Amino acid sequence: MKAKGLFAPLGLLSIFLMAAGGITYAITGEMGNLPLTLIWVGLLVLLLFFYIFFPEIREFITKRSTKYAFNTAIMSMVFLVIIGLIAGMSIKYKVRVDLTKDSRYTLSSHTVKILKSLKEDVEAIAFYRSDERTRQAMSDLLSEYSYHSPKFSFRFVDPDRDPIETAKYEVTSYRTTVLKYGDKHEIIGTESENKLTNSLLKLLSKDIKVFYFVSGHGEKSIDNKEENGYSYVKDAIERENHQVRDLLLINAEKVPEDAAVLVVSGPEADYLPAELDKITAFVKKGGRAIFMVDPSGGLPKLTSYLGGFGFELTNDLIFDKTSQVSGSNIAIPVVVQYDKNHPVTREFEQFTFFPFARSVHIKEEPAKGSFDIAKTSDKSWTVTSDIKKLTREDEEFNADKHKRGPISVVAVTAVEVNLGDTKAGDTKAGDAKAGDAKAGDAKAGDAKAGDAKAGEGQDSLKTWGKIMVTGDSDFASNKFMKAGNKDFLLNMLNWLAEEHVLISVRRKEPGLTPLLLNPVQGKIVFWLSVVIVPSLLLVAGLGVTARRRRGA
Amino acid sequence: MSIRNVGLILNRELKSYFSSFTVYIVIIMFLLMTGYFFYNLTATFSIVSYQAQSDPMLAKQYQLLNINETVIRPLFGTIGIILLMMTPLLTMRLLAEEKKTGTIELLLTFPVNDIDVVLGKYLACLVVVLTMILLTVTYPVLLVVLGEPEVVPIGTGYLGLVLLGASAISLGLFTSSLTENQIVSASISFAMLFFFWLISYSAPLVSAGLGRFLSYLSINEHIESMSKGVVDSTDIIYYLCFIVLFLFLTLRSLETKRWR
Repeated sequence: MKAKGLFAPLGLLSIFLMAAGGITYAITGEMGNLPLTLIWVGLLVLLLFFYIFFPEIREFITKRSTKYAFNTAIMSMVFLVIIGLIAGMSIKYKVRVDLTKDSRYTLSSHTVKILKSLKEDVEAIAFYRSDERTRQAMSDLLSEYSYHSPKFSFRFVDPDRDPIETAKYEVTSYRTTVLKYGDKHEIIGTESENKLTNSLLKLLSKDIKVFYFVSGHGEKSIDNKEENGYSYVKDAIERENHQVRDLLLINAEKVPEDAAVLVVSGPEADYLPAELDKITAFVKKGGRAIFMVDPSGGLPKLTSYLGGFGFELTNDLIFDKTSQVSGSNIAIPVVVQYDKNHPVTREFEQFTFFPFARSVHIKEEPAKGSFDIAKTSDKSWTVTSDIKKLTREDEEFNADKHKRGPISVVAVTAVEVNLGDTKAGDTKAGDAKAGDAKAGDAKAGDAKAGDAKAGEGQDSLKTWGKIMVTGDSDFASNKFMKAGNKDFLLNMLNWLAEEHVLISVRRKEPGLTPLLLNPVQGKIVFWLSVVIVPSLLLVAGLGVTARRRRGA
Repeated sequence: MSIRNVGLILNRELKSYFSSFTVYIVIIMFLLMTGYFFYNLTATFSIVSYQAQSDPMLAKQYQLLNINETVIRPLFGTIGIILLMMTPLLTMRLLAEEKKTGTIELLLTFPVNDIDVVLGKYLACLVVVLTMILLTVTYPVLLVVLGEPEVVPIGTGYLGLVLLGASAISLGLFTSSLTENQIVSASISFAMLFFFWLISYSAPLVSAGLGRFLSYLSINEHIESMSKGVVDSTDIIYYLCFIVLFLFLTLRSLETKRWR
C-alpha cells in the first residue's frame, strides 16, 4: 500500500504534462515534436495511473456521491443545452420595437429590402478615433444594418492606432467609413442612412459612369498633378469605379452619348457658339453639366450662355473675414450655409473653401429645381473682380461700396428637354416635372424611394437635364481637394450623375434638446444628486441602526 | 414550491438586509457614484449647449445636442457598470453566511424546498437592487424638469437596468452557494460578471461568427438597445435565460449539500 502511495503524484504529473503540451502548442502555434511528446507522455502516465489505481478508481466511481455528482453534471449540461436552444431560437425569431419618438433606430423599408437581398458579404470599416463624438451614431447605424443582414458586418478602426489599415484604404480623415464589397469599395463621410444605402447601391450596381472634362480653353487638366491641377479629382472619381475622360469639344461631333456628366473646369478662354450648341443639345436631351467659372471676367459668351438658363454670374470677387479666423486669407471665402432642401447639401455639414470665387446666383424656384445651394458667411462681401482696381479699402467692408454676404457661390437648375427630341418627353413630361424639377424636395425624393418601379422613375428623370454652376474652379484643384471640398465636389458630381439610381431616405436624427443650466440650476443638480439623496439614505441607515441598538 | 415559504424567507431576508448598516453603505456608495456621473454628464452637456449657441457647426453634429443621446444613454451605461460592481457585495452573504454559521443545515431541514430558499433569497436581494435603481429616478426627473428629454427611452433604459441587476443577482447567488467564505464568493462573482461584461471586447479579434457569439454572451451588450429606446425580444430572453440558468445552477449547488 505504501509502495502504491509513491505513485500517487502520477495523476497530477499526467495533467501537468498534458497542460504543458497544450500551452506549448498555444504559444508556438504548431503541433511540433515538443507539444506532441508532452501530450503523449502525459497520456501514458495517466494510463499508468489508471492501471495502478484501478481498484480505487472503481470504488470512487461506484460511490453514491460520485453517482449524484455525475447526475448533477449531466442535468446541468442538459439544462445548459436547453437554455442555449432557447437563446438560439430567440436570435432567429425576434421582435423589435423602436420606441423613440421619431423611430430613429429603424431603417427605411427600402434599405431593409436591399439588405435582405444581399447575396455576398459586405463589410463596413469605420475609421473613427475612440473618443470621436459621433462614433456612437455610426455604430448605431451600422448595428442596424448588420441586424437586418448576416451578410453585413462592420468593425471600427482607430486611424491613430492603426495607420497601416488606414493607409490601405487611403483614408485621410477621421469619421470616414469604407464600405467593401468584393474588390470594390465606397467611402462614406457622415453617419447617414441615406449615404450608406446609396453607397451600398452603388457598390451593388455594375453601372460604370463616364465623366467628360472639357478641354481646349485652358480648363484645369485632369492629368495635371501640380497644385492647380485636377489629378486628385480624377483619382477620386476613379476610386468610385467610374471613368474620367478628356473631351475636346470643338473636334467632337457632339457630347458623347455615354457622358454621365460634362465638366467645365475653370476655362480661361471663352467657348465658341458651336461648342455651346453641343452642350445645349446634350443638356436638352437630359444630360447633366457642371460649370466651374472663375472670376476672370473674360468669358462673356459662357456667362451669357449660363445667364440664358437663369444663372447670374456677376463680375465680382468674394472677400470673407471668417476665413482669417480659420487661418486662411481674406480672398478664400468659407462656405457655411447649405440649402437643406436640396439633395446635394441636405446632409452636408462641413466647411468648404472657395479661393478667389465669384458670386453665382439663380432665382430660387424649387418647382423648377432652381436653388442657390451654398453660401458664404454673413461676414463676407463682394468687391470688383478686376484685381488692378482693388484698393486697400476693399479689404474692409464698406456698406456704400460693397454687397454684404451671405453670397451664393453654387447654384443649380433643371432644364426641360425639347419635347420633340425624345419620346419620353412626350409621355412623361408631367411626371418628370413633378419628380425631377423638385429634385430638392424631400417629399419627392421619398416618393421616388418608395417607388418599386424604379425603371419608370428612371425614364421620367431622363427627360430633365441639369446644370450646376460654381463661381470657382480652384476649390477642386489638387491644393484644395481635401476633406470638405472633396466631399462637396463628389456630392455634386454623384448627384448629377446618379440621381436616378440613388434613393432618398428621410434623415432620422434626434431633435435638438439643449439644456442651458444657469448657475443655480447647476448647483441644484449637484446637491440633489450627489449630496441630498445619499445623505437622506445615510440618515435612514443611522436611524435604523440606532433603533436596532436601542431594541437590543 | 410554496409561495408562503418563499414569502417567509423573503421577509426574513429583507429584515436582515435593511436592519444592517452595510446595505445602506452599499446603496449610498452606489448613489454617490451614479450621482457624480449624472452631474458630470449634465454639466458637460450644459456647457456644450452653451457653446453650440455660438458655434453652428457644433450644433449640427449628429446627436450631440440631444439630451437622451448625450446624457441619459451614457448614464444608463454607467449605472449598469456600477450596478455590476455593487451586486456582489449584496449577494456574497446570501448563502455563504448561512454555510459558515451552519444555519444552512437548519434551513434545508425545515419543511421548505431548496427552490423556496433560493427564490426567497433571490427576491429579497432583487428588492434591494430595485430600491437602488429606484433611487436613481431622481436624475431623469431632474432632466424632465430642467430640459426636454424623451420619456419612453428612459423607461426602456430602466427596464434594461432591472434585467441587468436581476441577472447579476442570480450569478451572485450562485457563487454564494459555492463557498462559505463571503470574500471568495464576492471575488468569484466580480470575476464572472467582469468576464460577461468584457467578453464582447474580444469580438473584433476573432472571426465574424465567433465575434457575434461573444457579443451575444456579453451582459452589457443587451442593455445597449434598451438604453436608447429599442426593445428587442432577444435581449429580454437573454437576461431571462441568464437568470434561470444561474438559479438552476444554485439549486444544483445546494443539492450537493445533501449527498456530499
